[in-house]
Amino acid sequence: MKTEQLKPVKTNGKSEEPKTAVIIGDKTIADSVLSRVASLEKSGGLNFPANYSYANALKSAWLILQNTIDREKRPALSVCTKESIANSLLDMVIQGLSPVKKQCYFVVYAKQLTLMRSYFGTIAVTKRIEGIADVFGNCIYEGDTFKYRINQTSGLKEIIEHTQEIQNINSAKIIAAYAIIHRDEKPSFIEIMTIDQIRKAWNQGVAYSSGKSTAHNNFTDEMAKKTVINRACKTFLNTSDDSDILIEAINRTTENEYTSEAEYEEEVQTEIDQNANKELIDMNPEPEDAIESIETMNGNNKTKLEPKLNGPGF
Amino acid sequence: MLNLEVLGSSSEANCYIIRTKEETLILECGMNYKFIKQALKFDLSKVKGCIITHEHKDHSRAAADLMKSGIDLYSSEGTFKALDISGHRVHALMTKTSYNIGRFSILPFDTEHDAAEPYGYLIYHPTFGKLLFATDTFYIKYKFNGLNYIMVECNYSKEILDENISAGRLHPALRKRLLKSHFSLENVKIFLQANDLSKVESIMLMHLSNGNSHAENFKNEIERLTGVPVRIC
Repeated sequence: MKTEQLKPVKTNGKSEEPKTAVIIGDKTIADSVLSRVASLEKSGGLNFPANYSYANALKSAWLILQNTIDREKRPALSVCTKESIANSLLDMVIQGLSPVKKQCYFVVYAKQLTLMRSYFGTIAVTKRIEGIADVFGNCIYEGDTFKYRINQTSGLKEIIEHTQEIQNINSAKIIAAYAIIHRDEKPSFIEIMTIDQIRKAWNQGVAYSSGKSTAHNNFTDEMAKKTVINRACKTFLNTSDDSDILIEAINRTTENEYTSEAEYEEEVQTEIDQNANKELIDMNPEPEDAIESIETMNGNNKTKLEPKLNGPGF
Repeated sequence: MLNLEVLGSSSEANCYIIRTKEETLILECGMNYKFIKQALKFDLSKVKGCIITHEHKDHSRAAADLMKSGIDLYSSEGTFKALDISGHRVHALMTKTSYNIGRFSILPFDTEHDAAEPYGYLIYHPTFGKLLFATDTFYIKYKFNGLNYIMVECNYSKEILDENISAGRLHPALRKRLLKSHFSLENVKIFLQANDLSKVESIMLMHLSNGNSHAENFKNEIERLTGVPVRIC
């Protein structure tokens, strides 16, 4: 059975079988995921948040998958490989995510079903890491008083002051955003991003760079907070202990977010589909008489070209 | 009737010569100048110029030599800047503007490649009609009417590419670059379907990758799709 495509892209080029791969026999995919999770739970390899029912999450995921389609509007369940469906469901359960709460969603890339964690999912997952109490984000607007310093011994940023007048709040005048991760018995972790950095991050994606994202344009403050919180959480998730399967699943879906080959391919193809073969262009094939020097043929104003770079009339 | 000689069509060298009775046009000069001269039988008197798509060496290697021999060069301003050549033989063209070179008319248009300012060209001559020349572009923004000949890159097929990567014959990093710089068989098909092919006499597939393409299959697939004779350059 092949499960290779699901693994995160590893920089050292080596790969190993994921510890959590599902073996699919005659049972349906959801059932085999369910039994695999149950056995992981029994052996103590997996702990779920107190209020998380993986059976419910799996059932609702299965219902959502019935309506999930790929870019050509084909049903995901008939397009995707069984292994990719099983592994994305498993990634969901291990991280304790619920598709109904929009903590994650399923995306088809070619024949692979991929689990993408949403911003809400990232917060939920981060809070599950031991020692993390809560995660918050704020925007800094023009006119705010904001002071921070960097602790010389720990290297952590510390916010000294952030005061804001209500009239400063204006989505067009955001200058930065920051996220605070509160930790038990440790100083809080702060991530700050300027609006330039945030926009650069947005530009990595199709939605914002195409200029069509209403979310980014109308709810700039919320999107900015999301971006900086996401980054703060990632610093944590990606530097946490890699030994347990929770982190393995977290990292797998983090990779899915922006480095997967399949996603890159999807983006390129979207660009092609949006732009290719659209505008009709043609020349005027009339002039039968050779014109010795080259001339532009823009209607009446035939101007002689200056054969120089940067020449006028170009 | 289009009289086309292919001197090279790969990532090593690209050069094509179009001959009419009285005039010759060179497309691309990405090879040692001595081979181009040989192909021209050392007679430059009919050569009206050389058009270049972009500055990568496999398309422009002989540019400076051509210029020294008195052949006019046509391309985008960005391409000439990147090549760092200038002079009275250098003609920077604007996109979507027609120009006459002898009895050839050319219409440059912008293409999608990891180069400074890459162009493709629509070329007209009363003896053969309209020829589309587009290489090193992962898609074409434009559509064309009443083409008689099409020369288009068909670099790789995704299927063969993925096979090569999973077999370890190709580094995965190359895949990303290919996707966003070269025309795949799959996208060439979409391109051809989007265009009016009713007058097309021949389609020439150019710039096939060494490892990621299959000439015979590509020819068959495009012929089956379009019903037009296909030639592999």
